Amino acid sequence: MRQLIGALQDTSLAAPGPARVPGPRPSAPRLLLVCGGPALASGGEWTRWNQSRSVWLAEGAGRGTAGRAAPPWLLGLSLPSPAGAMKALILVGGYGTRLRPLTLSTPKPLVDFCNKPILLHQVEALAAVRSGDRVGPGGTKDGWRRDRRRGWWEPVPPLLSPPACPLCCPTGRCGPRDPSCELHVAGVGEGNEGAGAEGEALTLALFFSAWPASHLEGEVDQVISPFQLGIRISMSHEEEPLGTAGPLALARDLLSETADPFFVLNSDVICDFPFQAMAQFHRHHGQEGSILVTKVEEPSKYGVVVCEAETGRIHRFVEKPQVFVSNKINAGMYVLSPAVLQRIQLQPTSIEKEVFPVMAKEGQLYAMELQGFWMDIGQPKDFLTGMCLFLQSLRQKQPERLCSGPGIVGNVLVDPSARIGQNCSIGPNVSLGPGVVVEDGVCIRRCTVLRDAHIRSHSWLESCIVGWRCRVGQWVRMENVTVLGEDVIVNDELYLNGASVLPHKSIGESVPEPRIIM
Amino acid sequence: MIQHHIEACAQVPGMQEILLIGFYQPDEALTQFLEAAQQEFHLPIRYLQEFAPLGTGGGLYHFRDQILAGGPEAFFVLNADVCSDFPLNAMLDAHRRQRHPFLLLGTTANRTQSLNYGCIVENPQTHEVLHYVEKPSTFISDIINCGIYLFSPEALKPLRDVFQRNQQDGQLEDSPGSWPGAGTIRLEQDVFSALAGQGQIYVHLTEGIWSQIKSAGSALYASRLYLGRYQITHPERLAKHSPGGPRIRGNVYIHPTAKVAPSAVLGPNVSIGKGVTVGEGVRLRESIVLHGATLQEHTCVLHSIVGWGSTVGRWARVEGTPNDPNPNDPRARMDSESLFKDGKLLPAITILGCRVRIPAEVLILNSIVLPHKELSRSFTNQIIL
Repeated sequence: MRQLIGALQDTSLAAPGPARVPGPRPSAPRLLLVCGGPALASGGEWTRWNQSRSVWLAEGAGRGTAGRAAPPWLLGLSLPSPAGAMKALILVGGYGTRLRPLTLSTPKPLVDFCNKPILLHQVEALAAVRSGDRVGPGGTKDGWRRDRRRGWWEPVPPLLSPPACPLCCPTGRCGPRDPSCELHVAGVGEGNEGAGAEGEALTLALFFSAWPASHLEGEVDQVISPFQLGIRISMSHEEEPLGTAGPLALARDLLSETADPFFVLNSDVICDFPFQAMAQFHRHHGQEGSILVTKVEEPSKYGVVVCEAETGRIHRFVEKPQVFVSNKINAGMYVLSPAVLQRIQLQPTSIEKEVFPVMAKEGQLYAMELQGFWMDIGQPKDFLTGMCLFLQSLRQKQPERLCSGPGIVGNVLVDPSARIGQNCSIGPNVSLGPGVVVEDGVCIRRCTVLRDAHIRSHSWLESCIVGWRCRVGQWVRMENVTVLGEDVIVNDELYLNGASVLPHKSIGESVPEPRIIM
Repeated sequence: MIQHHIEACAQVPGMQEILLIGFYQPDEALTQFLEAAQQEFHLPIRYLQEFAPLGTGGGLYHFRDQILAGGPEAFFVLNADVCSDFPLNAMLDAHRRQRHPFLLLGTTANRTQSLNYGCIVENPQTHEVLHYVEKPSTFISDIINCGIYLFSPEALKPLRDVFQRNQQDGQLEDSPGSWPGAGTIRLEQDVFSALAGQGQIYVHLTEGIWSQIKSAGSALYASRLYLGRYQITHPERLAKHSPGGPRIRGNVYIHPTAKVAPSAVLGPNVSIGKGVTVGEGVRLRESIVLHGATLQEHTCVLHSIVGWGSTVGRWARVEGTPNDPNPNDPRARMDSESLFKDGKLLPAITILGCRVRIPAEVLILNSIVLPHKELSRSFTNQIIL
C-alpha cells in the first residue's frame, strides 16, 4: 500500500511519462480508486475521504436510488491513450442482492460470466482501448507486446484458463503453462526500467467495503492477474465508520486533475464494448457528456432517451413511458468531461434523474447508439439471456473459442479442464467452467455451470445456473431459472422448478413450484 | 388382477370349478386369458355374463343353479377389485369347524378410514357378526369387510327371500329407472345388514395384506403388496441383479420377454410387462409398465403407470405422487379415492393410457393422460383428454 501511495504521489496522473516505481514490476500509476459509491452515477454520498493516505480513495455510504444504504464500491482505472490519459470508474455496486444466491459466496464483479469474472470483461475492453484496435467480445485481440514503433505496450488476449501463456498460445487453450514462457510473461515489464516513454501498465486498486480484504485479496489477484493485463492489484478494506461527504470532493479533484474525459461504467452490463468509439465520439462533439444507448423491444420497462438522429444530441429523458416515445434506452455507460462534476450535489441523488436531464436541456448530452447485443446481467434470468447473446456474438467474432464435437449443439463454451461424458447433449447456449465434470447421458440446455461443479449421469438441466462446487445427482431435472449457490448437493431423481438454493444446502425433496430454499 | 384370485383358489384342495360372474362384455382377450388359466391351473373356469347389472349379490342368485351344480360343500365368493393374500384354506377350516351360511373375511382399519368400508361388529368369542353397516357415517367398528366370503349352499335361501322382496317392492314403484332393477341384490346392505345378529353370519379375521383396488393409483399400492408377498411365496418371480443386467433394488418383477438395458436402474416396487423395452440409463421406481411400452434413454419414471404400447421420449420425466396408506400404521388403508378437492386435482399417481406418446425432455407430473394421446409439452397436475 505504501508503495502504491508513493508511486501515485510521485508521478502525475495525466502525462504518459516515464514510469518509475519501486518494486519488481514496473507500472505507471494510472489508477485508482475507489471504493465508493454507487456514487457518481447513482448518487450516493461520499462519506469518507482518506486524506491521510493521499490516495484517491473514497468510500461511499452509498445510497442508491432506492434510498437504502448499500456498501458500495466502485473501482477506477486510468488508461493511457494516445490522446492523453483517460480514467474509468466502474460502479461495481453494493452487495449484489439481485444475483443471490451466487453473490452470497462471492462479490458480484467476481462471479464468472462465460468463464470470466464479470468485471474482467469490461476491464479487458478498457485495457484494449489504447492499442487502438477493435475490441472483440470478451476482451482484446492482441498480445501484450511492445510496439517498437510507437513504443508502448499493447494488451494480451484474454485467456480461457489462467495457466496458458498468451504469447505461445494465442487462443489460450494450450493447457498447463510452459515454464519457459515465463520469459515472455516477464517481458511485459521489460524495457520499462530506465528512461523512455515506454510501458504504461495499468495499476488497478480495488477497495471493497462490503467484503474483508483479507478474504478477497488472494482471490482477486488469482482471478485478474493471470490474464496478463499488466494490472497490479491492491486491496484495502475500510473498517472505520463512514464519515462526511469528503470523498465526493475527492473524486472531483481526482477526476478533474486533467481535462480529459472519463468513463463511467455500470459493471452489470455486457455488450460488445465500444470504448474506443465512445471516446472518439465524445471528443468529436466536444460537449460535457456522452451516453451509450441501445435499442430494445420493450422500452417502457426502462428509462427512454429521446435524441436527434444525426448528431445524437439528447433532448430529454422519459421514465417508463406509457406511449411509445423512443425505443432507445440508457445502456449504463457514459463518457463525461470533468466539468460535469460541478453539477453533482453532495446528496444521495441519481445522476440519471437529476444531472442528466439538466444537461440534456442545456444541450450538453449526446447519445451514441450501441451496435450489437446488450444485456443487464444483474439477475439470474437476464444473466442467462445475456449468456446466450454473448455466445452468439462469440460465434461470429471468435468461433474458435466455442466448443464443437459429438453431443455439442449450438453455441457452447467449455473450459479446457472440463470433462464431458458419453451420450450427452450439451447446448445450445451452455457455458461450462473450469473443472466441471458432466457424467454420461446428461442433457444441458441454456445453462451456466460454474467452476468445479459435478453433474451426475442422466440428468436434464435447462435454464439453470449451477454454482461452484455443486453436486447434482442422477436423473435430476432442473429448469425454469433454478439457481444453485455454492456447494449445493441435489439428491438423485429430484425435480427442481425455479428453485433458488442458498449455499451449502442439501436438497432432498423435489421443488415443483418456484421458491427459495434456505 | 384376477389371476391372483384364481391362483389362490387353485391352491385350495378340492376346488372344483371357478366361475366369473359379471356384466362385462366378454372379448377375445378374456377368452384367451381363461383358456390359458385353465391350462395352467387345471380347473374349469367359465365366465357367466349377467343380463343386466345385478348388484353385488344378484348374480349369485341368478346363477344359483350353475353354482350349486355338482353339490359343492361350500363356495367362495371373491370380489375382483381387492388385493389380498387370500387365506382361503384358513377360512375353509373355520367354516368346517362350525358350519354357518355366511363366513366373511375381515381385517382391521383405523377409526377414520373404516368409514369407507363395510363395518362389522363381532362377538369376540364366537366371531358372530352382530351388526353390519356398509360405509357408515359414524364410527361403528374397526373391523372391515374384505370382500372375500365363504358361503354354504344354505346361503342362497336368504338371497331368494331378498330377491322376492325386491321384486314385490319393484312392482309397487312407478318409474322403473329409479329403483334398482329387478333381480338386483346388494349383498352388503340387503343380506348382511339384515341378517346380522341372527346367528347366520360369522367373520374370520386376517392380519395379512389387504387392499381395495378402486382407482388406478391404488393398483400401485396393491402391486407393492403383491411383490412383497412374492418374497415369501414365489421368490423366483422377483428379478435379481445379474452381471450385464440392470441394477435391481428391492422387489422388481420383469416379464421374461421384456428387454431391459444394463445401465437401467429398477426398483423398488417395479413391475415390467410383456415385450416392454427399457432403454439405457432409465430410472424406474414404484411404477408399473404395461405390455409393449417403450421407455427411451435416460428417462425417469417414478410413481406412475405407463399404459400398453405407450412411448416415453428421451430424458423425459414421468412422475406421480404416492397416496399410500401410512406405512407406520399397520391398520392404515387407502383413503377414499376422490380425484378433486376444492376444485383442484389432488396430486396422485401419474397414469398414461394406452398408446400415449410422450415427447423427449418434457415433464409429466401428477397427470392423467387419456389413451392414444400424443403430447407436445410438459404438463403438471392435469387431466389430458
